[in-house]
Amino acid sequence: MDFDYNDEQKMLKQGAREFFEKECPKSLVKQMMEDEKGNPPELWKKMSQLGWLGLIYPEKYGGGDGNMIDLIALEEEMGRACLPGPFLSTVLLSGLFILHNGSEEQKKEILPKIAGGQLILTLALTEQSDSYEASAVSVEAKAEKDDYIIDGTKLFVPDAQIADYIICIARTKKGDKPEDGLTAFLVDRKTPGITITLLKTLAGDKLCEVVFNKVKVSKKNIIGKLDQAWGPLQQTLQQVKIAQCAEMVGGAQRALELAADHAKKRIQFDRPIGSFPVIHHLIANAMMDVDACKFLTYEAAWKFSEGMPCAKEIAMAKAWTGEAYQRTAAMGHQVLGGIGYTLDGEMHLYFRRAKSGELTLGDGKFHREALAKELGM
Amino acid sequence: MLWAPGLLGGLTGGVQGPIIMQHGTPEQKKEWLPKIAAGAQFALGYTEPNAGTDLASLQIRAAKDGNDYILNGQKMFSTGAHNARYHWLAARTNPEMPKHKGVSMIIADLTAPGVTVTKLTTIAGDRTNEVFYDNVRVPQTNRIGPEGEGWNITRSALAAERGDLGTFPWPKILVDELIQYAKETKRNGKPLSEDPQIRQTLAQLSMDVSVLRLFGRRLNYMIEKNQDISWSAPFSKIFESELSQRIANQGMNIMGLYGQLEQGSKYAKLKGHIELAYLTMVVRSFGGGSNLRLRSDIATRGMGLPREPQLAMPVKK
Amino acid sequence: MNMIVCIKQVLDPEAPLSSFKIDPATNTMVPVTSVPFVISPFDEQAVEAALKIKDAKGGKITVISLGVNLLRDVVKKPLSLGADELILLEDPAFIGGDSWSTAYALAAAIKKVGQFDLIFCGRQAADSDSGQVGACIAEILGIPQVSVAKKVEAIDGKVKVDKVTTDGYEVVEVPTPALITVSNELGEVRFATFKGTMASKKKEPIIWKPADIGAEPAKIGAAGRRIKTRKLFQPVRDSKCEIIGGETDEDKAANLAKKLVEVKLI
Repeated sequence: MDFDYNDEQKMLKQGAREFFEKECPKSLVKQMMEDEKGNPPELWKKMSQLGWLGLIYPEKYGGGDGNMIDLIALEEEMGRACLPGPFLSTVLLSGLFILHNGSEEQKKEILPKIAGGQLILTLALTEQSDSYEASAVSVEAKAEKDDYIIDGTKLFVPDAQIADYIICIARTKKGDKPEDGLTAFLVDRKTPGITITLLKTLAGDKLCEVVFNKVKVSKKNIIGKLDQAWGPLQQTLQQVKIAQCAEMVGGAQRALELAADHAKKRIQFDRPIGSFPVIHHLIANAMMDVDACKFLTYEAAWKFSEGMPCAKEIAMAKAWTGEAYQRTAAMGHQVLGGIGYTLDGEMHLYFRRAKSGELTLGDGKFHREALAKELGM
Repeated sequence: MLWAPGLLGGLTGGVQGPIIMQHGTPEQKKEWLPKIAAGAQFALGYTEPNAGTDLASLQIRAAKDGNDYILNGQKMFSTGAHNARYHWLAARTNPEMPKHKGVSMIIADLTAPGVTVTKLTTIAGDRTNEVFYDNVRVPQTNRIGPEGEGWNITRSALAAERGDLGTFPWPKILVDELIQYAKETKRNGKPLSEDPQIRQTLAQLSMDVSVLRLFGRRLNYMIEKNQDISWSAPFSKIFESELSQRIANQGMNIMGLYGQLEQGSKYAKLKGHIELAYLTMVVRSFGGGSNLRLRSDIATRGMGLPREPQLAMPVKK
Repeated sequence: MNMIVCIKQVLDPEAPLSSFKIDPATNTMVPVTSVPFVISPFDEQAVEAALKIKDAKGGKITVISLGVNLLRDVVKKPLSLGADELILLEDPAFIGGDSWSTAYALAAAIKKVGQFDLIFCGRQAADSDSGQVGACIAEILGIPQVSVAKKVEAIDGKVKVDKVTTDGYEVVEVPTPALITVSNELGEVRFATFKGTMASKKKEPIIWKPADIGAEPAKIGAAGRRIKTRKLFQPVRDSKCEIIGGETDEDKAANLAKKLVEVKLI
């Protein structure tokens, strides 16, 4: 494992930083928090043209043949920029699930359009029980001739309000274990019976309630195997978590830099506040915290890209990174004081996203429990 | 004591050879390197009653007299001085110079007339020492490096020592032992490892051990790439010392009343490791450079924060 | 169309002023570690000018840079954007020079490349801001030079250049081969695509030492300096703020205009 990116990844990262500074200023980020769609189409199109939406897909599906390390280099800059929009839901959650489980026809149909910026997708897993466990899936899909009828409510579905397709994880069979009998359906959002309500969220990201009221889906729209979606879904979520950790690493790093920059410039008691040892200590703790996020994430990404077992590493990265990002942004608020508490500032963007990132796809407690299992407890 | 060799090794040994190789004269290399190779014991003589983290305030005096120095003064916390033959001493050769510039490195013979070694006992039951010098004569040829360069030599020795502290194997060993203990020990008929709180605690400590390992590997990576490590080297030291204390403290809670039992006591578990760790690990956050001070070093060197201004007027002693 | 672009690796000029310190004893800048290196922004514009011509007419772009410890992830950027070849004059003997000795080495390298129709340079480097290397190269090679270009078009063996002036621009034509220095008015530079970035891995830079380009040791780098820096210092900037008042917004605007006339700013 390397503790640094290679030259091309550094170029990708630096290029992405310059691109987002120009194309995704914080004013746009704040505007998108209020915007119902939450995805500036011009920005999405430009990212597509740069090959970033398809970076992780194979070339034959319109992708860039990139690896996991390339992806996290880009993700770090997305986190730094507080990039709005459906990258996680479309490119990662949905795209990767289709890439790993879809039929050749589904992959050829959908992935090039994701890479080309023409299709927005999302994946609907969680429900009102607020859990990432299989037992929490209660939305049912019943067979009826060549179709399935989906009935029930999904909650906290990202970007459903702009999605062209929703991948709905539904129960098709009552099995011995809650993991058995779950199936993934590719549902056109415009199918009759779907109602989407946008929720108001801490970080201004777009989470939705998606109600399926007797929604008819063709059997052909099953992704992967009938009744066996859970295992493959977990594998996709594992990969997405690594990318999500990298996004949080980029945000945490920026929150730390903002705090340090302020501490160097802000004069009180005739000296920069950054010369007080108490500030040294806050910054030093955050430096160690953020480096820990980085290395745990890099190690998980490296093991994943080498095809090595990495369940432990992913659990550690997600548990640590979510909490450390929140600690770092909270520290940033402490150092910035009143000026950081205004909406004009940037720190609150990181403070909001830190928490939503921590909660999304499982928090620290969830992943420490996963780790305990991995440790044989 | 089980980890005494590791702990003491970290705090005293191993720095003299490389420094003599780097700063010694050909004669000194000829004299000292074979002795070190043959196992000559050195105790470190840096700290004094009024010179701890602010090491450059040290007062022990080495006055020139003919071809010798005459040593007068006191060293504190000189672990191993009661067994060692030599004292690796930072002493003031020029009281007129600014405090960082009047210090030289001198090797003193602890068996020489005028040296008194008295015992100090740590809370973990280890012995450390005070060493008193009363008109002790040392040849000037025992000075390592140029006169007045002692501070720079000491700093490089301390950096080596801090790196040494960072490779401490015990956090991983203790966490592995605690996980094993939790799996095998039942309370109220259920294994401790089924207690959700204990699962969380042990998972967190296990993550911490991974972070420590990654900090260590990153440091090696930076050394290989010839990068500036002055700010990243203390990461391992700070993190390890505080992690060791967390492990001991939380390990105690997991083990409950049994946690208090010393090695050798009836009913002692895990060979009394956790009880011993609870006491010995305390030293690690101030031994080899105070974590409080090292945090300032990290922030100023690594993130460019300004140093704390020196007081215009020294505080009266 | 064979094009050559000269680029310089500089400390990021966007970094806060407080990051830069000068050692008055040696008249040099204190090395800083906290500021990243970038390609001088005007040079990026020069690369963009060449890429635009390549887009329109095709051709080959050779990029040349000079220095020591040139960071590959910095100087390879033009390759990720579509340049074809990167030559690095990388040797301690090349550094510490002034505009002339730098231009001498670059011109020697350009002669060794041989075939060229156009040479592009940034109008000035973002660190030293001398703006002379381009002109010196043209002088040494004996070719025409157009400075401060905002638009460059290749038309049948000639080049049409929109050249920035203080109150507008001039349109000039030069025969090739010619050297053009490019200004920021050229407009936005492109970003590298993912594939372009990854493809640059396969284009390894070519390293030339002084002997490779037949440069006389006394004429390059510090040895070839003709300019002596007498004093390098950071100017002290003082700023005062005055809030212009008024009953209404219109009044405030009028008072502001009055004040600006008063202090001869408009």
